[in-house]
Amino acid sequence: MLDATADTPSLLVIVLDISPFAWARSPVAFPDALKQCLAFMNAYLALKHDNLLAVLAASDKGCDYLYPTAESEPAAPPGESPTSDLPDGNLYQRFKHLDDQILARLRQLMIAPEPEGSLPVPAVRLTAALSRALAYINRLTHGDNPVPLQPRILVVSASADSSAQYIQMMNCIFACQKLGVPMDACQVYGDDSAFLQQAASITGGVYVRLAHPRGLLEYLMFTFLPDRFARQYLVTPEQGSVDFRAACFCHKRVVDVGYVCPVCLSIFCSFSPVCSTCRTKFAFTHLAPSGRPARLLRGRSGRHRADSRGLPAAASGGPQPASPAV
Amino acid sequence: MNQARTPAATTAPADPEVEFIDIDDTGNGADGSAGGGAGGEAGGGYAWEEEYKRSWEGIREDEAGSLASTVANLQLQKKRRRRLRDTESVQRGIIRHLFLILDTSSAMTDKDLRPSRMELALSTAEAFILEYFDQNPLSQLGILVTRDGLAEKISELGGNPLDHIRTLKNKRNTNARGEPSLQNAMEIAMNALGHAPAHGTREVLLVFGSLTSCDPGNIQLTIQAAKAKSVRCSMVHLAAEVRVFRELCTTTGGTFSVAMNEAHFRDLLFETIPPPPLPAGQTRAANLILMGFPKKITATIPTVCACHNKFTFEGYLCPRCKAKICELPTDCNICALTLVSSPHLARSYHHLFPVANYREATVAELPDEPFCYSCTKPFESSAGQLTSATKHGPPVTTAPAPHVPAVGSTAIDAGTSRYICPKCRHQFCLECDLFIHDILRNCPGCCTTQ
Ligand SMILES: [Zn+2]
Ligand SMILES: [Zn+2]
Ligand SMILES: [Zn+2]
Ligand SMILES: [Zn+2]
Ligand SMILES: [Zn+2]
Ligand SMILES: [Zn+2]
Repeated sequence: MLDATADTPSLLVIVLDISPFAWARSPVAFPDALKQCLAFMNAYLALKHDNLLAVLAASDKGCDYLYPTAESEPAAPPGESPTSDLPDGNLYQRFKHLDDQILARLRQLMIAPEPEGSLPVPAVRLTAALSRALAYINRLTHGDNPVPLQPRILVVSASADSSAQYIQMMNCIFACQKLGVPMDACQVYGDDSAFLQQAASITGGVYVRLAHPRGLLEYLMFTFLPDRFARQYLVTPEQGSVDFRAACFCHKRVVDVGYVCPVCLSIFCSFSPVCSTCRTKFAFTHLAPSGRPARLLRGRSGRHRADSRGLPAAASGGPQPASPAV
Repeated sequence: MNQARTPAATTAPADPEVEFIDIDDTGNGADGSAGGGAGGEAGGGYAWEEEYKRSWEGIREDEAGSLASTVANLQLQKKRRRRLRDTESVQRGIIRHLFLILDTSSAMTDKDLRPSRMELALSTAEAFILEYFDQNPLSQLGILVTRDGLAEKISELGGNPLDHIRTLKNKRNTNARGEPSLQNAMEIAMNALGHAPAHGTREVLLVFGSLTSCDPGNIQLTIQAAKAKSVRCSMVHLAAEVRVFRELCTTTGGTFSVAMNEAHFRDLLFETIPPPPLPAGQTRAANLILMGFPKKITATIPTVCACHNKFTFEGYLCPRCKAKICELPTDCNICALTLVSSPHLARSYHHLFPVANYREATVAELPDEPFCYSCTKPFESSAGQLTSATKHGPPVTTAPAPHVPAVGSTAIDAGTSRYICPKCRHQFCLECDLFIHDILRNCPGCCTTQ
């Protein structure tokens, strides 16, 4: 948080979108993007020897940890991955271990059978991955043996927002805010992601939509490599305007003035007699005005009476009972 | 009841949990604080050295045990408390109008709670206000204090937590003296709440340390008036149960509780933070509220904001009158439209769609996952299996390693400290269970299936 100094190691959790649907249409092929991401991860680990890294993959099937896999934490067994485990003279062992493990894990995930009962909706399970990432961060920073860390999350996304995950996404954002974890987001191509934009804006992270997706590594290195401490001294990309408008529940239309159900806070673009979410019936007569006019009215009548009853007695200062109740 | 005081003699037979409380409120330090609870590590040292008449059973058990077991126990206790919360999706009054009434009478100078009742009440109230607005972003709150038989409104109903906290900070150096007046405080609160819009709840939360109240009239009439105006009153008392106070709470549909120690006080106060469920069959006139959702802008040239008349780069534009506002949620200073951002509304949606309570796994279900699903913490008791299960590759949670022997789970005792989501059947550690239900409010497992 604020007391992070230059020496506090970082904890970076990368949520990587591996949905084949999304990457199929991307200007940068997934293997290329993955290579660039791996280079970024290596650079991140090289930055400080005690920097911690976790990588989660989110696809339309689900999400899972790529690194660290549970057994790699205590002792890192170098071998047994499908790729050659011979030490590579040109590669630092830790990087090689990381690369091998992520690739092996990805391969495993790609051939993993569809989980039963999964819906054929090609929506990336971004919120599931974020939820697990947050639980992971929570354990390391607020768990039994908390260590001083600067945690942050980086989402590398190639998919569009899934409106079905809106509430879950918002919950993740608020959890980030509570834990003091900035959420950075890198939208590789396509339209701006309103969810990720809001996430970055609320949590104090950086949101970037790549103008040149092939230069992914460059964006990663220049924008997302510096930790929170370093960012104080850098000019990070800013979002000119963030869309905090809401979508109405009835037509999913974005509105800037809408009617809100006072019981469940559902948003409607036009007056409706019954709330479609909670079945509350609404009075047809007049719409509740915003607070101000009522407050002015109160100032003139009720409040003054209440005060004047208390104040004279206060002047007298005695422990006697105040004037009789009205 | 026209006498000035509600005598302590009216104290009803106390709750089982407060049986040991010293009723004599004036006895100096006779009723010490139970330094247990979550603050056991820090406050425990003092607590043991003093003579107490408070309930100790819970802590005595831990006396012989190590600190680790004590902490684990407390965690479990905390959890059990939390588990009692209902997760049903009921109608709740999400837009709330609440008056916090703080007793600042001489009874609050008692030091049975550390550092003193007053200090504790004020500092906890500050945390309460922050959390209240965090969970009820569209709600309003006002603060009243009462002493010397008088009540004073120190902050009006309003939506800015920082204003209230500033007022409370100023109150810190005023002397606590005299007696509180329940009736005067209630009258002022009810008067102010009477103007709250009908779509919101009207609530009063009282924090009292005194066992008496100095009232000008018949308190029963006030209680009936509160009921008629559907003002829901709850009280957290710092010393003992008082019949009149409890009656006020039960009649108006609120809760009455007595704090046993500092941590318990905090818990009790914070239990009132989630929006209360609406009484079934309540036919309250509900009106749709017109709200604006402003766009956040960052300009290269600073412009004047409508709220502070200062030059700022950032701000939100009111969609109706295009005035620039610094902070949300608020009412537009120019056209009085209620301005919120969609995240503010979304912050309350978890009350509508709560995460199902996890239940502790039984031994039979254990071998499914050797790790906590969300944070990958290896489950302690399965450390033996862990190596065998994962030696030849990382665990695939979607397809549990089939060669994990079920017999390996025999070593695990009844308290498995693994928690299963009833919907997605994934297993979580205690840490994650608390985190998921208290902060995250998403089940990571269920997110993959919804
Ligand atoms: Zn609509
Ligand atoms: Zn509704
Ligand atoms: Zn301003
Ligand atoms: Zn306006
Ligand atoms: Zn966990
Ligand atoms: Zn679940």
